[in-house]
Amino acid sequence: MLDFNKKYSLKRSSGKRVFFTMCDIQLRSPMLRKINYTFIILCSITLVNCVYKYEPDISKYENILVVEAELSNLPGPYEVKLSRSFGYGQKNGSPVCDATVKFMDKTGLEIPLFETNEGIYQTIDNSFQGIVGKSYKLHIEIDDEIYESDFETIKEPIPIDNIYWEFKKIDNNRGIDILIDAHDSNNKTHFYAWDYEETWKFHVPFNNYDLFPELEECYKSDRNTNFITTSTTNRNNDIVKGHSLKFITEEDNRLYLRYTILVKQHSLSEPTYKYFKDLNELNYNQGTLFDPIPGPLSGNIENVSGNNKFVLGYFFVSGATEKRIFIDRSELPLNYYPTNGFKECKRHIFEIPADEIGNNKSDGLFPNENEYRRIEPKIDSLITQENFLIYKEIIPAQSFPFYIVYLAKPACYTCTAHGTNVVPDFWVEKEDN
Amino acid sequence: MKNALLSLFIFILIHHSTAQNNSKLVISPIQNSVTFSEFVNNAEHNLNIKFFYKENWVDSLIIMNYPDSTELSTILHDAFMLSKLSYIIDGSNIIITNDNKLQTSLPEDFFTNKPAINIKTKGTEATNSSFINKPEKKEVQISNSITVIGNPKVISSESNCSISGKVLNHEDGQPVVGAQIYIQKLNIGTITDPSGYYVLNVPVGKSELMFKSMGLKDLSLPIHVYSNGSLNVNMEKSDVLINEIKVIAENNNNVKNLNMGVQQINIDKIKQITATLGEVDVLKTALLLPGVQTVGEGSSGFNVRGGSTDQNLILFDDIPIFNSSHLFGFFSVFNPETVKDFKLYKSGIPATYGGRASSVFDVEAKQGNLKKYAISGGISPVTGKLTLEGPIIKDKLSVIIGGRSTYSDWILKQIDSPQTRKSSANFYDISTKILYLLNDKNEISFTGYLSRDNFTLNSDTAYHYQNKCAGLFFKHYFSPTVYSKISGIYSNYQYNITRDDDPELAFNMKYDIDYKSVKSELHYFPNSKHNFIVGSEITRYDMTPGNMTPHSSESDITEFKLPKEQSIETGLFLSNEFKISNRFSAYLGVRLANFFILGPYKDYEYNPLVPKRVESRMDSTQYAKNEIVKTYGEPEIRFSSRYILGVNNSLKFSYNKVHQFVHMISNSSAISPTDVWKISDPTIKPLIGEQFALGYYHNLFTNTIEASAELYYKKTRNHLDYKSGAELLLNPNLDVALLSGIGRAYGLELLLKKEKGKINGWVSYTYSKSELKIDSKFAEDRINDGEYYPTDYDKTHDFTIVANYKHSRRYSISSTFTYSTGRPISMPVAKYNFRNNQLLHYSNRNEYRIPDYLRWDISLNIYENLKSNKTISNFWSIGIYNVTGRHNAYSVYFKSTESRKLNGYLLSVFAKPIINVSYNVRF
Repeated sequence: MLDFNKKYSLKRSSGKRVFFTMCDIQLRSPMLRKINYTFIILCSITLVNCVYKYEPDISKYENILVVEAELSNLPGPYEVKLSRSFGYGQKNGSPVCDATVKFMDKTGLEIPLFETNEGIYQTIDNSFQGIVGKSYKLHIEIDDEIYESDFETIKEPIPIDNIYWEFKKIDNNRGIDILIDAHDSNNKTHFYAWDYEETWKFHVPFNNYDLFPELEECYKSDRNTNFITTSTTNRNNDIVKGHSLKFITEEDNRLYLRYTILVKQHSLSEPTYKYFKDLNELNYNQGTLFDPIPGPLSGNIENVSGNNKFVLGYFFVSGATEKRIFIDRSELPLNYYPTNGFKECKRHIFEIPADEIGNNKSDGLFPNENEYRRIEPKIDSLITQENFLIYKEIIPAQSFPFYIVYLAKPACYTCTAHGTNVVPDFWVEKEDN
Repeated sequence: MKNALLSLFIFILIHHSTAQNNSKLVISPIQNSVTFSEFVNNAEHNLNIKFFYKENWVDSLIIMNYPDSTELSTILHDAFMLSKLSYIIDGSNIIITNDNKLQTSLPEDFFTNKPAINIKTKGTEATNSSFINKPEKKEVQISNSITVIGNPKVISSESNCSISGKVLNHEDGQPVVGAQIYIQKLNIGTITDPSGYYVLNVPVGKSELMFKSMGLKDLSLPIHVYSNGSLNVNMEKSDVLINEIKVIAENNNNVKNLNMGVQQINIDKIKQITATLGEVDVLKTALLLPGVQTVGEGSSGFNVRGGSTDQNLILFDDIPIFNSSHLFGFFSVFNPETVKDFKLYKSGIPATYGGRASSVFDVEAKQGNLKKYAISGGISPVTGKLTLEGPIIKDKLSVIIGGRSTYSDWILKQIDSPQTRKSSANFYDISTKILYLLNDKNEISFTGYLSRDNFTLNSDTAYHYQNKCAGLFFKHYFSPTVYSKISGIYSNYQYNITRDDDPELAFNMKYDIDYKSVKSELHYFPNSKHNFIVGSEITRYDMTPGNMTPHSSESDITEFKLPKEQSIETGLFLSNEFKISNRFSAYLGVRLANFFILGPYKDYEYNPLVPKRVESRMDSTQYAKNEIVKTYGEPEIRFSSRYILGVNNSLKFSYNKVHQFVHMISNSSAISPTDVWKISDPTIKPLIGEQFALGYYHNLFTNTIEASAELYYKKTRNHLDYKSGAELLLNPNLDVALLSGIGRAYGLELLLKKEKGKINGWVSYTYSKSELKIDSKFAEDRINDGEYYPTDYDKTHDFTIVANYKHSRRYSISSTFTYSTGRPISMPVAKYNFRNNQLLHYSNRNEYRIPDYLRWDISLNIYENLKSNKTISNFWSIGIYNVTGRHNAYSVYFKSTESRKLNGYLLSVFAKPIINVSYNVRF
């Protein structure tokens, strides 16, 4: 008899997807709501693993200008990033320096951007802020080449009605689904995009409170890399209800202590919406039986010097609003068990007889380190072979003539290895009732 | 036993020859032809002799007129010449014997006027060889009496007469298609058409008519033709039919017929070949033929000679099927139990068919048994099947109904997991055929078909799609040389997408295409040199391209309906297959294909100076209901010819042109259930395909091996493609999202086939290219800079071996091996950083290829209970699909992951050996 259940123990955290077996045959429809479910029966019968890593030999490479530019009604500084595309086997693209970059509006107003870092251009004039209803274009000059975007209008920003969470089970993973509600009573927006920045508090499992109390508690931030888009064109009313922004599984430590999410909601023009929807499809949703054939994705920027050079990227103009919520572990259901994020952390504790310690003091935090390593070879091997370090020691007492030595990997006792221990200025602790 | 029969046979022959020496009886002149009984009465009366025989041996024997007195032995010799009767003259007793059971084969010159002594030697030799040297040789059924055709009283003024009739399977009354009927001595012959009908021009007088068909006992029928007449025959089933694979009609046909690029496989052979997951599949079998390819294992669409999947006219008893796949393409919609055979025209498409540019895939439904009731059932890892057939009125009215359904839902329910609770994926199909043979002149048949797929995959959105088809056919035989066929055909394809989890967003999306057609054709065979078909076809298409409606009272979904489209396609066709000389035959057909787009329709005019976009619309014209918006059409020439070079080889050439007025709009390389069919409109011009093909056919080793080489070149105009990122579903401006270009395809197909023997099968190799070119004066409307690029299904090399080994009548092993070049795919030409993530840039389409495809399947078929009067017969099939477990790529794709890394993946559908068992039973 086939053990089907075994197949279901596989876990994945991505989007709305279901896993019946290891097999990853997916079906997608080009329908309004993206459906990305995994398909089943055949694989349950065949017990076949269907997806394999594959590294093709792609020798061809096109060097293309990449433009990453954003402008909204929210206060600046606004940033434009210019870089070059790179080959499939390469790691990074080079920044494009010394370009002339400016925003222009239809009245002839020009707002220059200055290179603050390699390939990064920013508005310096803090008095400049995008105005709702006005149109702007991006103008870039690199050597003799001129690139310009279409005029893009800042659409009316729509307030976020609500951001909230629900405890759910998706793909056999329990987790907290963060959802958003919004609506436009004027029925004019229709195209929405969201991006967000998350920050959460975390503790490293081990610490030397006496010496480094500041290394236990830190904050980590993350920003989503793709816009989440939706459109309401198929509805009578311009309402977004319960659109999922982020699903936090129990494998994640974001909600272990306290978490906040700042959601930026963008009202988009139809072409901008289409571009980002296609971009997501091309880069995140491949791998189904009915994949659309990938092709070049042209944005709203073109080379106007007349040589038809392709340009990647987009001048993203939107009417934006923001909203932040906090989620405290104490608010969450008791049967949600998030990881602390340090499952891999192990510590070793040794007792070293005090009378064996000689006089070979070393420099550093723990002067007896060399002695410990000499007396207890396991400490030595942990340090040299497994990158463990001593993070704490207890000095012998009269009644207990032993040194107690604690070893762990630095990442397990130094929270700053993962985030910052500076409390972000927007951070609000839970109010005690 | 065999020896005993042999001795008996020799004994009879010896007596026969002895009898020759004693015959001195003379019969007085016979003025008019008389029946044998009359002759016997006269002779007994006049000569005081006594005949001993069974009345039924001689009931059709005629004694010709003998103007002079003739010896009795001569008369008897002449009379028995074509029968299996012998006589012994023993004094005044004339004993007639019937020895037909002894003979298994006849020497070629048996019927020539040779002395009896020769008959003896030859006959004995033939008997020996057939018993000893060729144990697998088919049994020949020899009629012991002469069949009289026409009216003996009428003396035909012509030297040749037409005989026509039907060849039916004795067991179930099914017509025998492609049976050979010939007179070996005169080297004339023909084959039966799909209804088992044949017409043959034969000389007046006596001859020996031979009927041959795969899986049936050869039938040798002595005839005496007086004038035009009809002759229906029943052919008996041969006990050993399971060992043969037939691809092209018959061995000699390959060289001698006019068919080019035509492949026919009947269901018995299909069942032998290893099936995907134990499910016998007509379409998947077709993929093993040269020139037929697919983009991947999980897709049901197939590509013929570099044509796209929508260019195949898939017919089920002349009814077009719009979606030929179940379960996203893993299985085809044809239930093998209700299919008789399929015929695939890769080139040389007859003028009777129109509308699709690449091929005609004609699946013929099985006709119900006219003699007795039968129930059959089967179970495979995926489906259960049940078929019922039988005569409602014996020999007159038969019905067959077969259904098939998956129990995948049942499997899902067994897996009690939260995801599967909300999922379902199932399909079923039902087909039926009713045949009513009113009388000799008229027959009516009805074919109905319904298939439906439903799936919901842990989601709130349910998908359904279905084919609903019916056809009514009326056939009338005016005379032996003229018959007509009138068909009324209805086919509907629709799909629905519904969502109702959230009442506010509950919707129903519907697509629907309706096909209604009336076709009439007249077949006329004036003589053996010509075969005319004339006919007409009129089809109306009604299409609902997309209706989005709220699915609950609270739903906030906006009702959105794309305007309906309607049009009429007409086809007038005339063709003649004619024999120019013994070596040279040709088929010439003309089809006048026209297409009328009917209003209401809004036709936009675009600014020619800028790329076609919604913004570049300048003007529009609104057409009223039933007003003709636009007409397309041109005559299409269909031509095939054959020139026989030698005894075993021939050369063929064909050309055909086809207009295609319906297009499948798809942006994925495989057919997906939500692909839309689009009928031509003023901006979407009909696709025009032309094909030239040249073939050389050679039969080797006395027709045991057929070799053929076919070369083709195809070009298509108005080949549709779509702009990158085009939204195809519910798009009110679909015309703007589409591009059109030209296509070309060429290739060489080599095939070596052995049909008979313990080991049979075929080996094929195909070299092919298929390319498209989408050019425009505007850069954004070009694909790959307006250069030719390979299509998604361009597979340069394709090599297939299908081998069957019949160990005994109970066991046979079948094995297939396929290798093909990986299909083209677009791969990224650059990566770039965007919003702290690595993304990919694709530019040229189909520049790279996925890894080559290689698969080996093997299966063992076990037949239980082979007794001829079996009440239950069982058939087991145990197979291994993809024996080597190779990870054949379905596609290669790239995906950004949450960790911001970019990975390449290979999607393989059946990446391990898959063992399957299926069981079939028949009562």
